[in-house]
Amino acid sequence: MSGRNEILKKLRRAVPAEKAIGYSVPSDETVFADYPDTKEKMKALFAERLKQLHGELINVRDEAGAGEALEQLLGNFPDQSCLAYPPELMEKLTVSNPGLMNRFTGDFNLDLDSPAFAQFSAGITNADFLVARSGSIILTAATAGGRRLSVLPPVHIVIAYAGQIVPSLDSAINKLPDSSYITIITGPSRTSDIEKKLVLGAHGPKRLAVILIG
Amino acid sequence: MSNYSSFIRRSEEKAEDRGHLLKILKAVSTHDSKVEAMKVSQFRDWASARVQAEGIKNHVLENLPELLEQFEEKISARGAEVFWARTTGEAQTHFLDICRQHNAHKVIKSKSMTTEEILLNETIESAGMKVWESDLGEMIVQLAGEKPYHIVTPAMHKSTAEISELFHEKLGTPMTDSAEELTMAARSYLRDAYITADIGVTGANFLIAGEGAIILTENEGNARLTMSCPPVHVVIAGIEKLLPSLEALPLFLPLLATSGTGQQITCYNSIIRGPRQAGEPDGPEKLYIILLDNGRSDLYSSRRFRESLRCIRCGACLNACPVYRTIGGHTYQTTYQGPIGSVITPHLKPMKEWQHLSFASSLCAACTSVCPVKIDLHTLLLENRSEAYSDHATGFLWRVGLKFWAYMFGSRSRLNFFRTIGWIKLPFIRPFIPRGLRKRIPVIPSKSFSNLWSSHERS
Amino acid sequence: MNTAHSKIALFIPCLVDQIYPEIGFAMASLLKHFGYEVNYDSRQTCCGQPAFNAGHRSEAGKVARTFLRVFKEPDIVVGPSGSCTAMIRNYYPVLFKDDHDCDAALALGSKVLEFSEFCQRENLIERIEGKFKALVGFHNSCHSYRELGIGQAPVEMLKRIEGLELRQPAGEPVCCGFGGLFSAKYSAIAAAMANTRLLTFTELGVEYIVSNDPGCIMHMRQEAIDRGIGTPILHLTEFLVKAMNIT
Repeated sequence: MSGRNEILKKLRRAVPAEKAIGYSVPSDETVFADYPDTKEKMKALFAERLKQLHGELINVRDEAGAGEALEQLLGNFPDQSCLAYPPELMEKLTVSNPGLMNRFTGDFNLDLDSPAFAQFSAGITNADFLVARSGSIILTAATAGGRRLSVLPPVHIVIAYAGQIVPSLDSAINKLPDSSYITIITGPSRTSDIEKKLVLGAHGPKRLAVILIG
Repeated sequence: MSNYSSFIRRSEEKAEDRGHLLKILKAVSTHDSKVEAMKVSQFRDWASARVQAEGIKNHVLENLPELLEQFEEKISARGAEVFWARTTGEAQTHFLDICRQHNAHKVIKSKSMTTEEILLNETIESAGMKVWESDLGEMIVQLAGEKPYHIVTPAMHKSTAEISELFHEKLGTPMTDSAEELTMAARSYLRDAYITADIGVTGANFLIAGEGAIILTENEGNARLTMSCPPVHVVIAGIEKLLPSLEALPLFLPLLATSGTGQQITCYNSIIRGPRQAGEPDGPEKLYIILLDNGRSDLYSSRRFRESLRCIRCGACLNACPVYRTIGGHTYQTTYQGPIGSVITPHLKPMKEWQHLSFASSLCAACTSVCPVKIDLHTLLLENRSEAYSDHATGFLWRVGLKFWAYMFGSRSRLNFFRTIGWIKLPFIRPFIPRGLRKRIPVIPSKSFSNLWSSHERS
Repeated sequence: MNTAHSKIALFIPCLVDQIYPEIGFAMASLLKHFGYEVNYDSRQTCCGQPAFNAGHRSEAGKVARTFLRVFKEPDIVVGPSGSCTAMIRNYYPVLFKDDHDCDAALALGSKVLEFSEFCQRENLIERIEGKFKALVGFHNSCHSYRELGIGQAPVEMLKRIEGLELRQPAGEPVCCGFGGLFSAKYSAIAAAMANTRLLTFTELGVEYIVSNDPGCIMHMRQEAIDRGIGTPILHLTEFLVKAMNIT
């Protein structure tokens, strides 16, 4: 008999429990103390949490403003040292900031097999959701340029819209895009493995910045 | 030397080591206040969150075979390949087959207690391949040639100075007292390993049955890199790790983070639905999942012990345990230490060899009080003790000694008789009194309460 | 005082009977002070906990059965030990499951009370009066706290004493390391745990350590002797008798 069948047989043979079968998942609103119930509270809480996590938040009015903010953030990075996705978003940002183009490789197509991928200064992505309660960013490999773009470079910049903010994770969990890989990012990478001392940028990005439009 | 004797010896050494104790207490106290503060600030009612979590995990256990099949079906439909391993040996075999199939030479892995359980690193090295631990704590113990000290914080027993020395010796980095510099040294050392590894291995914090997914939680980003860069991703997970659907995550992710590290939620929580799919620019071409039994179905079959499979491996019981705090993780000599380890190890491995861990507890129940999924840990330790006795696994002297004790205490007249003849001082009694206790027997007054009461009442 | 409950059967644990009779007498004096009639049935020897915790349930059962017989009649049973009370209330149902003495075990569980529980239930705390200037640390036994949910009552009782300043360690109570036979089997670990607990109190500068479990007291007293720590460690009843000046 295969390992699979033997394991399943053994489990099935075990005495059934007296407990009732069935479960309920409580809503985040009933579980969590800090659930924000208005749009203003959501935006404010997201900002507060991101700051506590040592992330950066820049509020802008529109895509043009986002382009300016991005140009400032990418400041001294060498030409063609940054990667961004999706191309449509980047096109919008560079319309009034053509100088920004120099920071990026060619036409924003990702050069995935390039050994230089590891040397990129910054990865810029969109997001699918922003979670207010935890100050988190949700993105996927299908919608944010793959798995590595948001984790390999030392700086990760997210271009997002205020309308993408949800109060808590349960609002987003049933609406996730179809992708092989979805990640919930809560602050820059960190570790306390050495005598509980907090260090940022363990393996993932040391800097996480969100440019929030609207 | 038996496990029991070596445990006694090691625990005695550690108990005497004040330096070790102070190190642990320092690590534990800041951690404790952080965890307690987060329970209060994040949850409206931590106690009811525990009850909810217990209920969901109980549902999983009562439906385990069906949910496992559902998980396998869903994730296979998206291109993953699932193996079922009854034993450590089978898991190792599956893994090596995968390595051979892909002509692998280099393996990078993130922190996973199941990989420790199946001795994955030893397996990889015996097969002539190289393995890199990417989690900082695991990397530290790997370089030091040690086993993890704690299931969540593997290097908590090492000081900054010790780590600096270790890195200087093994990586050639300059000596420093900066945790940041040491972390950056680890980061650059591993960068190349991510890019050039043939296989990335992770465990799974949760398996999702309903949608077919693997959940990985971490702070460093090393697990994300491990499952993003190499062309093959292998997951090794215990069969009990299931949750019914993604909907349970908004409760379980904060629950795990709060209990384990006092964080609201860990830095990166990743949901893997399969290997890279069409239209995605990168990601592993192949995803293999090895589901591990290795004694879990035995725990499952036992009605009393099934609840121990609710465990989400948060480490809270280790942190709360005053025995763990005194002797540290290495003394247990098991993959899983602390209260949960003491409960499950005699079922995953022979009872006779590991039952002593269940006796190495004062039953203070701190573990039970902190478990986020309400496992009645201290009661299960008592159950193990009873089972050890039924299995004739407890020592001969104890059996005879306690039979005599029950005889003596079985009636007042017998008790008075033995007290009068000073039983505790009798030479043939001496071997029954444990060595450590012989010097600590308190002064026995000349009269017992019972002797004194009648004369007291008359006055 | 509820006159229906004016007669109390004393529950004298084996440790108190054999090693610390003064704790039993202290408790009896306090109960008499509050106006209760106390009776002691010397047929009791032990609740069976040592054997039960060692996994030897049949031996524990033999001793526990004798214990059950002793307390068939009385309405209220009061004892100075949280761990023994917990044994009867929480674990006799396990020990006597599917046994012909099951009902008797459950009945006893509902009428046995640890001393501070009893005082709280009978509203005796407000009748505690005394003057005693001292810095006191209270060590809550793990079994009292986690098995029976006792925590507030002893602290409130101590606070009734004028001049007494309570200095409590922060956070949850930490085990002293007695654990019954655990301290016999793993004496080095148990001793280190006692030392850690004693240090917590000495660091707070207390002049007395008070506890509600004779096991904790025995274990910590022994460690204090070994370490040369002079802080007196008293049972709650002993301390109250002293502070309330009861003869």
